[in-house]
Amino acid sequence: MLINVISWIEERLPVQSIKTFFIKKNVPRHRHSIWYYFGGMTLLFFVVQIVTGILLTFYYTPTPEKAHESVMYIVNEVPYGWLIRSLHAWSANLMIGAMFIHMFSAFLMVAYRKPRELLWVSGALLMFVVLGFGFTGYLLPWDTMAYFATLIGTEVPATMPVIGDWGVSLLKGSEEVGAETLTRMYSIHTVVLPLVSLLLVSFHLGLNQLYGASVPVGTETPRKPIPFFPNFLYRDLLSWTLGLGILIALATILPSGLGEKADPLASAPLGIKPEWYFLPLYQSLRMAPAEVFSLSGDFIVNLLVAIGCSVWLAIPFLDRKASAGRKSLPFMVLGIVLILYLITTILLAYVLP
Amino acid sequence: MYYPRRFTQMLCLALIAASLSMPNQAATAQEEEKRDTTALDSTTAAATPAIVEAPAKIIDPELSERGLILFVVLVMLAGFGLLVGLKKREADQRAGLD
Repeated sequence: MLINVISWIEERLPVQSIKTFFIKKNVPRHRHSIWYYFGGMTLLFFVVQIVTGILLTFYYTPTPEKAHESVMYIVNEVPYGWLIRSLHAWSANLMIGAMFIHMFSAFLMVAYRKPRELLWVSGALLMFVVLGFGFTGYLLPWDTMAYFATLIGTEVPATMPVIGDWGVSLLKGSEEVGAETLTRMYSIHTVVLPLVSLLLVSFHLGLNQLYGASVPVGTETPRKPIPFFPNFLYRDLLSWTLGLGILIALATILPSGLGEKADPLASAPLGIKPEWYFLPLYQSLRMAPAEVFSLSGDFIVNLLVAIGCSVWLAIPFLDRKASAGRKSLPFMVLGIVLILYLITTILLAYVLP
Repeated sequence: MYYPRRFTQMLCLALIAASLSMPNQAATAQEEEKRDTTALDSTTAAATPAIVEAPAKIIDPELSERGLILFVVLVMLAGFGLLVGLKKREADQRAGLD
């Protein structure tokens, strides 16, 4: 019966050629091979996000009156609703963590060199999309912390000339953070960004299959490469098992909390901090002087972040040595300094009051 | 070589089967509680979530419920991991990898 079904499908779809492609495709083995698994790990958490996100939308209501109550309903009344919500929240954090490791390992291994420039660009765009998911999803529970953190977050672009006010009104949808902001965040979080990310992920994975894994510059590959199917896939499955184990352990031992319902008329509570992945921006804004050469400190930080993001996106086209298969010292230093800066600012934001 | 591997595979399958057949006490308790409270109609509840009074602690699932879920899922994952690990070794041997 099963054989008949398989042969029926094989007659109609190019299953055999796809299978042959994956059997012939090899994955290099060297001392840095372990970093290859973080891309797959990011994909795994992304899939968890889609599944748990869809389940949450069955019960969530995106209005200021009902948002908090519907989340309460999910965690208190819906069977295993608290688990689904915790998996969604923890998976988001783990996905962003795995994505950063994947991105910086690709950067330090100069994996963006010819012909993989578009692989880098699509990956960098995915980073912005993922951070957008984090930002738009944060307001949805409509609790005090989410409300006031979004209130501050939506004001960040305000210092930018020309596009500043437009950016703020685009994020808020009105003068205040209210019903328009919530429905806007919800539709971006559940419709716009998922569509964009699915397109980008498909493009990213397609290119990855086309070009294969990149061998780091200057790394010897004395060992025989692994066939992608089934050898590398089994390794990926093992790493996914470990990732799922960590995710489920975190979600069950430390379930996601929910604060009191947001009261827009109340004063902002002390110690509002964004999620850990926005702490570098938050801490940079805090550390910036009020004014530098008659320009506001916030404006300079936002400008530097905008320039930094553009440079990060264009790395494959700026690093001329990479295409020649050589490592460039300034870019290596840039990468290491950036990693150190991100870690330091995150730690400072946690330590400083 | 053959028999220990087959034995481990059977053991993994038995572990998965055992964890799947465990009675889910938390879910059963919730079901009973749900039956008692007749006010909540499941069809309308899905469309318009009821407004729930805030309990003292907003999220506090039973520790036993959390422990049970964690145990069952981790046993299943460990079983799956072992099976995949064995398959990986088999595939590596077939491909002549060290």
